[in-house]
Amino acid sequence: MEDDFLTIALPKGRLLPDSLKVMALAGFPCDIREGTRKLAHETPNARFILARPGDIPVYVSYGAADVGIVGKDVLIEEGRDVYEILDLEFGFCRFVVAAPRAFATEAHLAVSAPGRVCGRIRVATKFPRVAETFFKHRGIHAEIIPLRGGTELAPQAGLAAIVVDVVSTGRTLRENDLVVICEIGTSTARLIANRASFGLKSKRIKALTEALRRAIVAQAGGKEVVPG
Amino acid sequence: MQYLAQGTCYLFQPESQKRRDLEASLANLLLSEGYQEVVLPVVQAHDPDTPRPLRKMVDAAYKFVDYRGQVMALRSDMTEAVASLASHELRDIGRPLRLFYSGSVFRARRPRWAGMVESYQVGAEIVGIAAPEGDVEILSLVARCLKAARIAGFQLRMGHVGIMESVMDFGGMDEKQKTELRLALVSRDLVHVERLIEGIVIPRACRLFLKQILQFPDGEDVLEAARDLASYDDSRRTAEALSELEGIISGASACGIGDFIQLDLGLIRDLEYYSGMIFEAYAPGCGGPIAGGGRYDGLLKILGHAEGAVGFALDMQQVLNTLRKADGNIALHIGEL
Repeated sequence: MEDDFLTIALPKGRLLPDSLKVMALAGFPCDIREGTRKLAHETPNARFILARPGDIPVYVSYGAADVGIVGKDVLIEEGRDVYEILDLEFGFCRFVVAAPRAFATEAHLAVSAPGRVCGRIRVATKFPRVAETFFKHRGIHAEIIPLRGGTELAPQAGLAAIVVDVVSTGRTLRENDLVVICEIGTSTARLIANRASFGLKSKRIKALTEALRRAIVAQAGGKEVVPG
Repeated sequence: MQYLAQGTCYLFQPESQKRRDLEASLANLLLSEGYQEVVLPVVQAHDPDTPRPLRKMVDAAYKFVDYRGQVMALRSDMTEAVASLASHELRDIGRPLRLFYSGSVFRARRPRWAGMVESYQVGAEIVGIAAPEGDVEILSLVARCLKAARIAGFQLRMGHVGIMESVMDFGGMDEKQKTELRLALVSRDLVHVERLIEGIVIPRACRLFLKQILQFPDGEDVLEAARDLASYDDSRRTAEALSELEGIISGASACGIGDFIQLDLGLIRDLEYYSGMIFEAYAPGCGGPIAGGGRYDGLLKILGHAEGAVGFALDMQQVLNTLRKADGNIALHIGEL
């Protein structure tokens, strides 16, 4: 960990194109092509590493990366010991409770009026902590079934009547005949930093944060010019 | 069939040797500075009516029932154990009381975290000493311990609980808002802190100060904002906390450790018993804090013997990890048995 150098962890997948764009605007360009298998990239002013979104907080909390970009959804679920520095405002999605259309009325009742529903509901999710907290706070007796992904399959396969998932466009839900019962929260991409690096490399991280802040404002300003 | 529990580990040569040597040199240093060693029991009786500032540790402690049905716990915090010893068994011993210790503490971790259940600490406490004198002594002791351990490029990130608390009171924040702000600051969720202070009605000086601590730790600007705020706060609490902190800063500079200190008034530690100066030590390659500590006068008051106390603890595994990374060796140390 040289002092004059930042290691930046970027998430593979959905958030990568916007992450690269905003990094380039902030003066940290990196020529990573979509679908690349190369996971570490050296540039003159930073070293970029690519990791699965769920692993970004792990790399950062151990100090293997100084900073990283990751969705708030992952931060809430993982609850790792990292500093959350900036809302990058892209990658918007919502945490929702969803159920099959045919079951919507019942599901709505189960979630909104827990005192009147007996029994235990099964909930399939990629976000067991988020789901558990939500149902516990509402006083709903729920059995949380953790899945690695593809939660929308669970109701069709008869695994669980209700799912907790993140949605951005809602297309996946629609195509699987699921409807949103209620919203738990929203999520956008965040800049996170390692606790030690935050102080030891504060000048560099501060400069990056300010450049990113300007890049976000510039991008938002650019959008407003578009008519309509 | 026995197997290794999650969050525990074996320690082999040469790391075990290194830890032993390190501990010996730290013990010699502490003895030469006038600290007496105390070996603390691993098993403690559990008190179900634990006051709130200690709640967090009590909740994280491993508990079991002894042969009489009494609930026992593995010690989860050395500072608490020393404070309890000082205010009961050693309450009539002359002050200031300087003690040091080494040993494991045990804290339950969330299952999916890789954090260790057992961590080995070396630490020291001074009981019966006021600020800034005791605080400066502890800070300089930590710096000397880290130097003795050959940790390069370390930094002592320092804040003051009293300043943040008086700012929150001055801002007229209610308990719920205070708790939310504290929690957001512990995890440095700056996005949440910013939204929180945007969403509440507080005096302008208060808002400016909180915005300033959202910036990165670097000292002068945040001190300026704190001074400005103190001039509006009629309760004088901000001013008192601030002058205590300034006393510590100048004391630290006078004993030659000023360069190691980084001021960070947004620093809040995960333990609720701190009441004054707090700090965490970091070094390149360490990931998390390698040492931490602060002033906990409030804890002794709760234990029934109000007096000033300040201390620190070094996480030996973090020290070893940092040394190993500094050696450029991220592979396992596997010695010949």
